Amino acid sequence: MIPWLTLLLASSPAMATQVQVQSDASGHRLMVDGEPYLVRGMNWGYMPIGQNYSYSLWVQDEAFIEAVLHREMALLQAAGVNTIRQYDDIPPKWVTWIYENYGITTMINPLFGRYGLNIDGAWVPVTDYSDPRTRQIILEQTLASVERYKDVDGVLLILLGNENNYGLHWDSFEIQALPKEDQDQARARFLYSLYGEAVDLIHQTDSAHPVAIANGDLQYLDLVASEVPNLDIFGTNVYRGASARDLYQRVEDELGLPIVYTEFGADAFNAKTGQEDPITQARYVQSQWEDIYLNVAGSPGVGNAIGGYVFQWSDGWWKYKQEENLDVHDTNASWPNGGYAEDYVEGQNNMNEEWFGVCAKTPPDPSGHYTLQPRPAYYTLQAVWRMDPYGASSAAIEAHFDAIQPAEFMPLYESSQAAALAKELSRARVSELRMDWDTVAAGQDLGTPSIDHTESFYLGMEANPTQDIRADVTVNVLGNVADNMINEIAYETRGRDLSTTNADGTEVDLSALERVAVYGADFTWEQPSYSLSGFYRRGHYHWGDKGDIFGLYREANYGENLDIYNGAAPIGVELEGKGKLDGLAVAAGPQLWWGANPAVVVRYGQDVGASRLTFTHQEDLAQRADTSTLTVMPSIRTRTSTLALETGKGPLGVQLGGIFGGTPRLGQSFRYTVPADEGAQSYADSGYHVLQDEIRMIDTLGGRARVTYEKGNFHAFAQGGYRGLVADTGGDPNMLFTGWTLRESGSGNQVNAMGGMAWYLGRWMVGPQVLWQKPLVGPLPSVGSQYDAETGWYQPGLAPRNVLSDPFVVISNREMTAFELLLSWDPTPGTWMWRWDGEYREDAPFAFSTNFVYRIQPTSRDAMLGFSDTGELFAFSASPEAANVWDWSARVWVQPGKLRILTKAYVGQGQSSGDDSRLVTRYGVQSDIGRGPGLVRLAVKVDDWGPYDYHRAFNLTYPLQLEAHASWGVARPPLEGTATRIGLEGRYRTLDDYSPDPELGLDNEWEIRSVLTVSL
Amino acid sequence: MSPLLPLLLACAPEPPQYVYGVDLGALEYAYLDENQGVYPDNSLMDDPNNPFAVTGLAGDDRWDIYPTGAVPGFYAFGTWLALQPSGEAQYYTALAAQNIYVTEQAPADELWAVRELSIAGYRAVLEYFPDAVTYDAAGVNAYPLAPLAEEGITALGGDL
Repeated sequence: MIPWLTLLLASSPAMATQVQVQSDASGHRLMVDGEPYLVRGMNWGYMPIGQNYSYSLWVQDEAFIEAVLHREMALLQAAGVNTIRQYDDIPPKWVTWIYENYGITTMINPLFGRYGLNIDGAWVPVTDYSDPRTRQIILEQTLASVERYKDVDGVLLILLGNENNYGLHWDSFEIQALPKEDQDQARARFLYSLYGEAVDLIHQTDSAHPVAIANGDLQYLDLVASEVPNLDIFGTNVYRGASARDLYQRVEDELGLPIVYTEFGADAFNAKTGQEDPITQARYVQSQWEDIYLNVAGSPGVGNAIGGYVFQWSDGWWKYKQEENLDVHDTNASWPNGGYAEDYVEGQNNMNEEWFGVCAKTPPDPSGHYTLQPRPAYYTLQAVWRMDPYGASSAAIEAHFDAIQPAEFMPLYESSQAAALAKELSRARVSELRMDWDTVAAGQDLGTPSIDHTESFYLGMEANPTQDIRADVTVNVLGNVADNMINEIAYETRGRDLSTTNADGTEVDLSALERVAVYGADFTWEQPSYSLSGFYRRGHYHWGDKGDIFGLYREANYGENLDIYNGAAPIGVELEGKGKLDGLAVAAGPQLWWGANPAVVVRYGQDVGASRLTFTHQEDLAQRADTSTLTVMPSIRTRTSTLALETGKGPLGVQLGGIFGGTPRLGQSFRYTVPADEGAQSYADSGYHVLQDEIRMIDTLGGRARVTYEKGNFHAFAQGGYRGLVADTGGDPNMLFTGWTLRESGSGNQVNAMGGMAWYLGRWMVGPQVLWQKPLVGPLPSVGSQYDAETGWYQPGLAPRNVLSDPFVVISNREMTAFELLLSWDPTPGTWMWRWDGEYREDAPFAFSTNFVYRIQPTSRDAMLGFSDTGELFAFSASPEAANVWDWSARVWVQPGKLRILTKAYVGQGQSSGDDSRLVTRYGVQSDIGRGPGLVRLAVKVDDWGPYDYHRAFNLTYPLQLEAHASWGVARPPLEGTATRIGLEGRYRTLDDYSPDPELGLDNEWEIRSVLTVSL
Repeated sequence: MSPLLPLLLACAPEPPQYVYGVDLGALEYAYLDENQGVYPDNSLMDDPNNPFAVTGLAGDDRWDIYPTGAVPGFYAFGTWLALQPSGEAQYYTALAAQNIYVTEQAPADELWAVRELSIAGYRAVLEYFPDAVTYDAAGVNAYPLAPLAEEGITALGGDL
């Protein structure tokens, strides 16, 4: 073939299918492109539950239509369906699409005025086929429709009307003049004569597609014969039950035409028992098709059956009442039919219009998609259609049908129903059910112990409205809350007796206000171009590994502290772009991380050659001035932008970043001191000069440079940074090489340098690191005020700055030179013991990790915050004196046989987080001994702070703290969450003058607690 | 001279200022508004004439300052009232205002307004801090302030 001709043919539209009726002595056949074609048809439509006749699939967007067609046509094709019936609102492109993708042809069905007609702008609900104008419009519309489809690939037949003979209700003078018994015949003649005209006109327009009418059973066959002489195929909607009886013979005798069922079938509901009965439906369908097979051309039957369109593909939940109860699968039968004997009772309706589906269906998801559960009738049809009746003997046909047992398909239907039900139920499920029961016996010294108890219940519900949307919320409900625990702060503490006094002196119980609380909630929404998630008291990760090297978007995983201090964070939403939006992320919320101001954080990163450039911006929208724990300081309102460049070559990596932040604080004044000369006059005789300055643009700038070297088992880095007074960011979010404790502080007002290396030597990991940092402007010292009564000169005192009232502070950025040595030994380095979750992941029989940090702190810091007796947040008026501190810790893992033993030990010298200068040298050890689901924990602490934030803030220590815990459960305690366990706990503390409430003179306090947790 | 130089000089930041303290002897009273020093108003903290709004007021300094004069006393206790509201701070602020009025340490055309301020301050004691007390110099014996506030109002010719 000439190449250009090949190209031309390849690019030309596909030719329309050639369809003909072939009649000979053996009977009538439908021939498609020269081959006999048994119509294995289906009355197919897409109608979600909740919709009615006004719904149209074809006005939905293309992606939706295509998704629906792929799903439904694949199922039709699998059954063996080769043609569907469609009204003439189906766009031609979809006729071809269905044919090309699934080989399924379409019978195009203009309705021929069946359900009313728009005549010259007015809607006429009952069509008067005697009216010349009406006849003209019907012909014009029908021919226009034929014109539209005649060259469309995939069209099989043209079908006119739908039981129009049942809708001949118009009245006119001519009709009324006739005797009553002749009136219907007269109306019908107008209808069939119009059919005759239409068929002739269609033949002139489209010779490629035979024309059929959709008659209501065999009514007016005489008129069909006389008025529609050129009809190609007699189509009929037939509901005669298991057999059509004389139908084939009558059509052959009176019309001599092939017959196609345009509707037939059975409903799947037994009106007598009030139960779904899909097996009986399948038996009817099976019998009806056996009837067809025995009457095709060449068979011993009449020879005029060419197939049929089963009614219908899926249940039409809208059919009963049509505009009401659209989402109710109505079981009202709407008409009687003795042909369906199983549920027929004389005088009662038995045809359930909403249950004719060969498939049942689920409610649609919010996007309009539903799924189908094929009934036994589906599988019966599939089995029936495996045989080609042309050329088969009647014995073979009967044997084929005898072998099909619809009841055998019931488990398939039931399983698909079960799967649909499970899916439906999974759209809302119980995600968490947890019950904590604690009983506490507590006492002090030799006093009589008190007994109390706590009940705390958690109920979580997860909803999946669609596969790409998930939401989960957990609610906590309190019963009684023990009042005698020596660890007195817990999540349940909020439910302790609360009361207030009214103006009239009456006590008002407020406990109920805190009895129920949302414990946590989150949602995710996956879309092709983004992932959207929301969170309330559920953690999220930072963006450090996505270019936010300064940690503007902080990680928000807080472990048990969030519960202990009843934090209401994080709360917000996060959007991560995908596809075209790849590299973009946005987070916004009233408290994106604990202590955050209401803020929006935006990140955009892009590869530039071999480098990655990332811009991140944080915009605080308001100032938050509260916190629920001293471990989380309120943030000073800020606006910060950072730009990061990450690049590398070979073993070298380079990270450069710039900061422009803290601009809302421009112009704010602050004070600082400089030492006065020895013996010189100074401010309030403090030895300092005091100066007042204000935040300037230069104070908003900062930057950092880091170089890494990684080759084989050797990793090293060096970095340096400068940050103006208010160039605050988050801390360094990324873990570099190993589990070091020292990190670059995110605070502004500092210059710093760091370096370290991690050397993996077989089973050893050696990680030394050094950090040096110094604030640009040091902390404010505490200076007493001075008043000279003689001169009237007043010099007010100075107090350290604090985050509540100053534009910047010196806390985490205090002057420091620190050394760290991390040492780990682990024979299975895939689960290095230095990792935070090492105790859960470790699989070696023995491993350990130890870390030593020494901090040289030549100067003090500014003030931290504390809670007053009345619960108000305040800033301490002083800071501890400068002091060096150090910490050593170790984790040792031993797994002898079936035992698991994890021992954690520590010793160190630390400072209060408040204002007390007493250095605390503390040490302790804790061992967790586990076997199977059992766990024993023993802990000893000496001269250490108590368990809560205020202990360290007010420098409250206990000479001795002992803890013991023994519990048993159904499984090993999980890393996160809880498990069903029962056990006993004990705590004992000795007290001295540095312990809480020394004025009480107590020597010790203790508690024994039984714990029971039941958790799904 | 380059034409840019004046512009650059204009933009040049002010150098840091040494802080020396406040000469309370030279401090003069300036009337602000009818709520000045009256709870719950905090406008004294934004009052440019209030030296303690800038310098702060530490510990018990207000007690040392109060005897030096009605005007420093007014600003000291008014500042303390804004920082840590109490009936005691309100009472002494009102008393200081009364003394400014009586000793005519305000411009003549503002004296009557200062009298009104003092009365309003005493009334704030009665309304917001009816149970407030103050202590003797030893800090031992407590005296209820409500009767003293009523006396103050009466002394100024106000209505109870």
